This record gives sequence, C-alpha cells and structure tokens, in this order.
Amino acid sequence: MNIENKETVLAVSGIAELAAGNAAQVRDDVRAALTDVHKSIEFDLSGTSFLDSSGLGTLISLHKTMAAKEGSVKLVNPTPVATQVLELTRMHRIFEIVRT
Amino acid sequence: MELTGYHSKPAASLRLEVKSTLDAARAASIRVRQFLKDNGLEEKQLSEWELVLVEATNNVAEHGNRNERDESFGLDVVAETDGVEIRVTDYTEGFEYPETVDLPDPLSEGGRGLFLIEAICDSVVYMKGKGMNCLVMRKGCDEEQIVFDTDQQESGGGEEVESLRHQVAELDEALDGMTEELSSSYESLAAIFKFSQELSKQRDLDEFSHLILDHLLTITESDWYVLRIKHEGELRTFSVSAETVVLPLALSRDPDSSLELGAAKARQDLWIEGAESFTENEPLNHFSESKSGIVHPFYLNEDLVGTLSVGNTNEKKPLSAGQVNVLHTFSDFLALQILNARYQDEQIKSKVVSRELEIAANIQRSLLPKTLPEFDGFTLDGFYQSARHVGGDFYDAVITPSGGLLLTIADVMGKGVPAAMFAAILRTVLRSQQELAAQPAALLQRANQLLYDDLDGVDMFITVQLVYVSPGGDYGVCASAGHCPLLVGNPKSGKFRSIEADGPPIGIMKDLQFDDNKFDMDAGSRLILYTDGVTEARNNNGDLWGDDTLAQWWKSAIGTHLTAEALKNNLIDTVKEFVGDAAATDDFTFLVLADDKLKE
Repeated sequence: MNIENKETVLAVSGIAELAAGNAAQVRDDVRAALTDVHKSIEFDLSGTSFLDSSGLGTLISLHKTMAAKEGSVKLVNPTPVATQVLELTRMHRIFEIVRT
Repeated sequence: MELTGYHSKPAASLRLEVKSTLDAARAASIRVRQFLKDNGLEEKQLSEWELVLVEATNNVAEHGNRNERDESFGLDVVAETDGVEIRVTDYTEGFEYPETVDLPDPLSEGGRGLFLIEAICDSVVYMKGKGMNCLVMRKGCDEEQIVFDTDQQESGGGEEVESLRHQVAELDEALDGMTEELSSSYESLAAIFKFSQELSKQRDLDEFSHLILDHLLTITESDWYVLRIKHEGELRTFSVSAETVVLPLALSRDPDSSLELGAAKARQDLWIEGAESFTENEPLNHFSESKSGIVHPFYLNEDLVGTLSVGNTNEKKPLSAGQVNVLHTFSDFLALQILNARYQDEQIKSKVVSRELEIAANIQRSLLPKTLPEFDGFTLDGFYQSARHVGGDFYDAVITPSGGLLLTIADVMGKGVPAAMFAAILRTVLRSQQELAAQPAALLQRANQLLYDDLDGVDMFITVQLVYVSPGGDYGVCASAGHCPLLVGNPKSGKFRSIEADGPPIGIMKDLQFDDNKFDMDAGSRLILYTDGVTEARNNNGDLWGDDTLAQWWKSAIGTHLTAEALKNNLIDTVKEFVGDAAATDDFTFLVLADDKLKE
C-alpha cells in the first residue's frame, strides 16, 4: 500500500485487497498519515481485486474521521468487484465514487 | 449426503479443513475460487463466491479458537456448471440467525457480512446445533440436483425451482437494462460536450441548464429536479422541472429541516426514500410524493456551489451507481458553466464599481472651493489629491457674515459615492449654520446632531476640524472632532503650537460635546490644517512620513517659505520626494493660512 500526500489530499493506492486480514492495519496506517491539512482521502481502488465487509468497515471508519472535520473519503476507479460490494451495501451513497 | 437426480451432469466436490484464522480463511477462499474456476464458473460468479466465502468464514475465524475443537472449521463445496453449494461447518457456540437480514445504519462499521451473503446467494440456511453449526449457501443450483435436506425436497421443491428460475430471469433482465443505461450515460456525456460548444456560441444559461437537466431526468429515470446555486448566504433556486415556486433557502437555517441543507452540511448525497424523507417544513415538499430520489451537493475547490435534487414520484427506483455518477458529472459540469457566467457578471459589476468611483471623484472635486476667499492681510491655499479608492476628504474656506474666516477640513471614513455624499452633506450643513461660525465647537455639535442618524445607519463617521479666524486675524478658535492636530507657528516669534482634537469624530454618538480652543495669532502667524493622508504618506519601504517629520518640516519651512502658496508647494515637493513612486493609499489634503504681514 502506498500513502502519498498531495496537498490537502491523502492519496492511498496500491491496495490489492481490502479485507478482514488487512482492514485494521490499513485503517491504522491511513489514520497515522492523516494530518489537519488533509481535507480528503482518496482511495485508489483501481487495483483492488477484493473488498469485503471488514474492508467496508475501514472505509466507513475513515469516512467518519473525515466527516468529523468536514472532509471526505473518495473512492477512485473501483474495480467491478469492489463496485458490486459498494452497490450491494449501498455504500455508493456514502462515498463519492470518482471515475477518471 | 446423497445426491439425487444427478445423473446427467457430474458434480465436482471439494472438502477442506481450515484453521480458524483470518489468513487461513482467506487462503481457503482463494483455493475454493480456483476450484470453482476449474469447474467452469465465470469471473463474476467467482468473485461473488469469493466474497460470500470470506464473509461466511471471517466470523468463524474470529470467534474460533476458544476450545480444542474449534481450532478449525470445515468447508464443503459442490460445484456443477449451473450452480454451487457451499457449506461451512464450525464448532463454535454459533449465533442467532436473524429473521430478516437488513443493512445496518450506513455509518455502522460492521454488520454487513450476512447481508452480503444473502444478497448474493439464492438461498442461505443456518443450522445451529450443540457445539456444531452449519451454514449452507446456494446459488444457481437446481434443487433437484443438489439437495441437502430431503424434507424440503419433498415439500414442493418444484415450485421453488420455478420461482428461482423466474428470479434469475428477472435479474438477467435487470442486468441488461443496466448495461443499456450505462452505455446511454456515456452517450449523454458526449452530448454534454456537444452542448457546451453550443453554449459558448449563444445559448442562454437558463435554457442550457433546462436542456441538460431534462436529459438527466431520462438517464436517472426521474421525473423532477431542483437545481439550486449558492448565492449570498442562500441556496437560490436556479432551475426547477415543475411549474412550482421553490423558495430560496438560507444557509443559516437548521440543516435538519431541509434535505438540501442537510446534504450540503454533511457534504454527501442524501437519498429520498418515500414520504418519511420529508419533514413538515421540508422546502422540497412539493415533491413529497417522491418514492425515490437523491439530493446531491456539489463543490468547486471545496466550496459549496449548489445542490441538485432529482426524484421519482411514480415508482420506487433508487439510482444505480452509474446513474449517480452521471448525475455527479452533470452537476460538476453545470457548476462550472454557472460560475463562468457569474464571473462574467462580476466583471460587468466591477466596471460598474469603477464608474461609481468616477462619480464619487467628481462629487469630491465639486466640493472643493473653486477659488479661495480673500481674507485681508492673509494668503490662503489648499491642496487635495485623491487616492485610488476615493475617500471622503474635503476642505472649505468661507468668509463669515461677521467678516471672520471659517476654515474646514474633514475626512469621511468610508469609500465611494456614500462617502462623497456625506462630505457634500457636511459641507452644506456647515455652510448653512454660519451664525455659529465663531463658536466652532457649537457648530460641530450641531453638525453631529443633524448627521448622526444617517451616519450611524451606514456605520460611517467623519473627522472634522474647524478653525475660525477673527476679523482682522488677531486670534483663532479651533474645534476638532477626532481630526489631526492643528499646527500653528510664528517664525518671527518662534512660537509653535499643536492643538489636538478634543472630541470624537461626528457620527459616533448622538450627543457629543466639543471644546473651543482659542489661540492668539500675533503678526506673522501661519497655520496648517491637514488630513492623516499627509502624515501617513508612505514610501516604497513602507515607512511613514509621520507626525514628527511634519512638525519639523513646519518649523523650518514657515521661516523660509512665506506665502501660503509657497508653503503648499514646498510641502507637496517634500512629501513627493519622500514617497517616491509608491502608490498613494489615502487622500492627501491640507489647507495653509499665512499672515502676510510678515512680509512687510
């Protein structure tokens, strides 16, 4: 996983899968990298071949962290697999899904 | 397990004993995926089973390892070209399977596992036993072919099969529809860009937004929209699909009372899900019949631009992710167009503002006396130079009915036409009250009474200095309302005085008292009235010319530059030299009176 600072955006990429095995770690790592400067977290899900409910939990947890400081979590180019999970659980209503 | 009706198509099966850890569970799901792939399942089904398996086993892995037996759990997979059945057998205490599996609160961080399993599988059965539980999940199976419960088969499995087939057919149809809709979305995006070319030609923004939003209704299968744009603390209605009046929404209003404000505050889409989404005072209540819909706030550089709401009053059809994406794209695109148009408006406005400043400057110039009065034995001269943002400086000099001289200098705190107007009013007030000229304090008091209400209403105030010189010029009386000191000096006698303000500016309080400061003017006296633009002149280093420098200049200049005009020119040159090419930030105004008798 790569975490990059892009001014007010914390860009998270290189997540092959976001699931029970690494969800807590991802959440903690991203939170540790988060500063007051960041207004949004952008999760690049273009290479995420697997997303489960624990992974969703991580995204929601970070969403709440950001919402508390009026920021947001954006999901960039989620794979069809990830999109299906987001849609099934109606999480596409919570997150801004960005297609580039 | 006995498989019946299984003769035409052979089934493959796999049995795994999996350690109760997350990693082992994950590895098992990948193994099963490969097994299913080898048995001809397609990519989409593989991903679905992988997810189902992970959701089913994570729970077991997390709750396992409490005793010797639950160190592992069992996985049984039966695959057939049309369907799959997977059983997870664990030895934990198990859990109570809910009667209905609903999605948790959207912000809940857990509790979606069972929902996902149920959403993907055709049937899910959980059997809780003593120290052993079994979760059976099936998808695409023919009940006749894969059977795990003989009782169920006997009690009319055929009907269930029919209903399942029906469901599959419906799903297929839905998928086809979705594909079609998505492809039409992309066509629409192409259409937007075509529209934008037209827009750049001539199309009116209103008409354009109607056009684009009508198109959006088709794509999102909605029947109404409301587009609002933020303007001056409100969300103003920009475009509405229906013949209705949707009132502006103050951004200060309670966000809970409005879907649009709620969405704007939360910075996320809000979904309309039937009448319960509409509170009593909901501004969108005209559309409260809506069975589904979405309210989308949109931003540019993190700043709220507006909200776009669409909804369907005929049928409950929540927007798909694809439709939501198109809606987002449309709103972003419209936001840019609207802001562009607004920017053009602002440019026009800024032209209006510069015209206003021009008018103000004209008023200002007209206030200055065209010629200064003759006052026996004295020379009098004044100077006014306006800064870029016209302030409200002016000076005046009149011979009073009793033959004295009344000098006025004032600085209206404010800009543009209003400041110039107040300067004009003050000048008229002072000129019309000349019976009070010999008592400048009383005159200031009167001016304050007359102007206070108007000044207070616009948060403006005026510093004024009045100097009355007696007929013949033997003495002077000064009163000041928060203005710069009056400098009096006589190079002949070497006497210098600085008479400070003794009252606040007019327009600050309703009842103000001022004091008259009487001073002797022996032969050769000079005095200067000035505004703070003189002492606050700055050079390019940001240094102030300053009060002390002015006082020093005054002391030396009055000895060598004898007439008011000579003093004026010397002050202008001296300050100009100091300031260099730095831009003036304030009006620069002063008035000099010199007793010419010194020349004799």
